Amino acid sequence: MAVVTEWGRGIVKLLEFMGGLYSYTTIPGYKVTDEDPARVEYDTTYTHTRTGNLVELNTAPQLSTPDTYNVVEAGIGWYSHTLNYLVRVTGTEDAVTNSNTVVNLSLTFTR
Amino acid sequence: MATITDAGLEYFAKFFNHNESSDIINKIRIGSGITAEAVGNTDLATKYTNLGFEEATASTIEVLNTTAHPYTIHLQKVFTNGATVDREVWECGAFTSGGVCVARHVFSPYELKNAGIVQAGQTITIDIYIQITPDDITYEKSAETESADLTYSFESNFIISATVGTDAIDPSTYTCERGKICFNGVVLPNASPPMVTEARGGKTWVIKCATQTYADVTKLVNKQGLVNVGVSVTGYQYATSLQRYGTLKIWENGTHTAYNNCLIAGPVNVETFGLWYLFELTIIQSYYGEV
Repeated sequence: MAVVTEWGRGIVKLLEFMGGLYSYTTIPGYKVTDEDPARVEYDTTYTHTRTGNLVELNTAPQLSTPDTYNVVEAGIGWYSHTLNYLVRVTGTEDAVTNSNTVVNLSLTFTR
Repeated sequence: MATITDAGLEYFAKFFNHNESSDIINKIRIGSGITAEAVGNTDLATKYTNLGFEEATASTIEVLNTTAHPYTIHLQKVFTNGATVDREVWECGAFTSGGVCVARHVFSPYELKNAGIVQAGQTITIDIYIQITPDDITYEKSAETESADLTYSFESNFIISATVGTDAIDPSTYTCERGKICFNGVVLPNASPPMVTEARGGKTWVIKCATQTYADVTKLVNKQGLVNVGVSVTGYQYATSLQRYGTLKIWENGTHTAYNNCLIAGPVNVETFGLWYLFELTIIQSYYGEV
């Protein structure tokens, strides 16, 4: 399976938050395993730093039942708006034998 | 294009950074300043603060994700000039609920219809579009070991830009007092029945006016301009001027008939007779509208 990185409708969600159309929610990392049904894991304690216009997010959602999983999708989305992922990679099929999958995002706001 | 300010850029980063700033973008200001846009702007140069032109919360706040407006937040507000005099709008800006100037725009001469002049009682609609353009993603993945995490890293830019709608004032929308003749909503005082000549695709009206209030004279005379009239190769009358086209409304058969693409030909001579000011307006219609 080809690996694809892409932006998603989470950008629209960000703008909706900025326009006051929805209440702001946090941005946990999430991943989908090859369990059936697919599993989405959140990290409500993700770290975030800002230096000027550079924002860095680091998240490590833990699997609730550690085992060997295939991560087929990893990215960052809005909590309670998981369909509106901000950025993601799909088609990874990476096996994980520990409980952590880390997702980092560095985003610079420029004009 | 409008200019995204430094403060606006920082606001975006703060908002994204775990809601470090919880302000939302919902305010619009308009003003008469013509100082050039700059990234260091924190407010309008000369903002209006009263009589309908003061800062207002946008009546429309929507997020667009269309071909024309991808990843865009759209703010719109209709401002009504509550003053008793005409006011000019040369600048506008989008602000957060906390007063941060996110974007500012200075209109070019004639960018707005009717040259940005908003007559007393009339409205101007401001549309501001702020767009996020996501850049290409740089993606890396680190290998997993027994003791290390499997790490996915994304890196990219969000490019923020803003535009302002340019159809803010449409003279054809100006209302006219019942039974009167108006040019861009301004009543022609004591107007005589118009003398009309018609060319192909356009008309010319000559109308005598009289008033004892000089302000009524200036409201019309400041819209005059030297007008070049001719016939195009296709046989239609054209009229051009440095003034923008206006709309003449004539009361006919119980309703107003609107004639668009009209110009007041100058110079307009004003004579006095006792307490009265007498003047004659020549209004020329072009078959062709704004280019």
